[in-house]
Amino acid sequence: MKVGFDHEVLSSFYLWCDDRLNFFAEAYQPPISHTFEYVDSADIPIGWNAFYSPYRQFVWSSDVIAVANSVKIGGVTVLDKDGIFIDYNNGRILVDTSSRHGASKTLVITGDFAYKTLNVYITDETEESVILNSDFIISPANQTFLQQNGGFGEKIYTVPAMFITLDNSTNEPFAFGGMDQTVLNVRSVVVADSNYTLDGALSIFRDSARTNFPLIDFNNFPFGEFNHIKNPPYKYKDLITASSSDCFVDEVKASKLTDRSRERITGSKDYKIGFLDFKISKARSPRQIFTR
Amino acid sequence: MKIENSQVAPIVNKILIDKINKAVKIAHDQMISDFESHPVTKEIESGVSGWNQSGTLSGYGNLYTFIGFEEGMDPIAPIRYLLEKAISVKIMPPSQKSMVSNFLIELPSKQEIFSASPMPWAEGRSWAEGIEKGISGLGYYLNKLSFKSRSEEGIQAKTKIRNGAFKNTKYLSNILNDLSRNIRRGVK
Repeated sequence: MKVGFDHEVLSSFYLWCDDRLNFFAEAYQPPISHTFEYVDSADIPIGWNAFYSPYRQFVWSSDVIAVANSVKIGGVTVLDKDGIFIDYNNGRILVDTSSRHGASKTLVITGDFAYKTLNVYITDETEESVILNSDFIISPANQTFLQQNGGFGEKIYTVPAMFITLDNSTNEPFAFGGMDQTVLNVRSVVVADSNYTLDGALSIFRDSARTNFPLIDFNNFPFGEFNHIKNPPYKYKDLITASSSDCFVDEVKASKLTDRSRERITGSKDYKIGFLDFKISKARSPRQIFTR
Repeated sequence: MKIENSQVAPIVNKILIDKINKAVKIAHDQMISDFESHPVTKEIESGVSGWNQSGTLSGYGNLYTFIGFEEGMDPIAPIRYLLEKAISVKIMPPSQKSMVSNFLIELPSKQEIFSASPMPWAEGRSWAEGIEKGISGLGYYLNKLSFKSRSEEGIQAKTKIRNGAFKNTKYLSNILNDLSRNIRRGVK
């Protein structure tokens, strides 16, 4: 299926959220040295091995700090896409077993990467499903636990994190000539390990109401199939200069799950949960695509 | 001799304000009736034992427990209070040169109502707004967890949940839009 308007909005919104958190809220830890360990993962294609850092997600765009585009394998620098892919989203290195790096599971892979202190995920799960049915790992406190249990490869979310989902949308008549106002309600759940982080996330997005974010053409989306950077270095501020169209953030509502409800879910006070409800609008001519 | 607004206004405004007050009263009564008879209002008023007469849950369960209200809560009362407040009609200060009289009718606002209808589990969100924009099933599952925690020792957070299909429906926006339209019609 071709890429539709909703796909472009959601992926552009994702990049915008990521930039708000990284650039404006500085929600990251500066580069540190990571040692990547082999873990047998279910989502890895045949012919590839995955080596995990204890941290997920790596910072992939920054105007302030250096974003690494290489790792060291056995002390030798190897660039991304030279038989490996750097999966920034999952904090791992994928090694092509048919490349010169071979199929060894004992490769010594190290690299210096900054990691986010508030991850961002796009999800198609419902809000209740994210909160009730997901396994969360608090980063970085649980890294030792992860290493002991070899749990890097499991499909689990590393929190603090923000989960974005497109809830519903409508087209409302806007102007003569077939122009509509497309209104999208995007919901986001923020799961944090402290009130400080939660309040910071809710605050920066609530204050982003009545601003625009650039609509990025899907072909220009900076990440490839392995969550690697297609054309490094990726800088959000450069990417948005190529955009000629914006979406408007009409309204943002920030709220928190009450303490009582939170305790019902977690049975403890480990997670702080908040919600961000975004109303996004864009004036467009949606029926133009139906012309043969 | 030139007639000025200050001479005409006291006579005309009295007639106009009577007419406006009458139109406002009729529209206000109609709004209260629309609100009380709305399936969402009736369903929530029915409490935990109600049925899904609004159709928002495809007939499954009821809004009261789906939103996550606990037995005994009366979420309709604060909205009713706001809607039942008398609508004020004020005469705006007349202009010296113009013969036009302006009246200000203060209607209940959507924002006021949304602020008075917090979700039981997230106070910054409004359930009344959620009826129109969509409500997640979180409240329902929180209530379920709460029940489990009362009936069993400890709670299992990993309850496999069924994807809820909440159908949005126009609720207070329509009622308030009708109020405004009916007042305009009444004063014409």
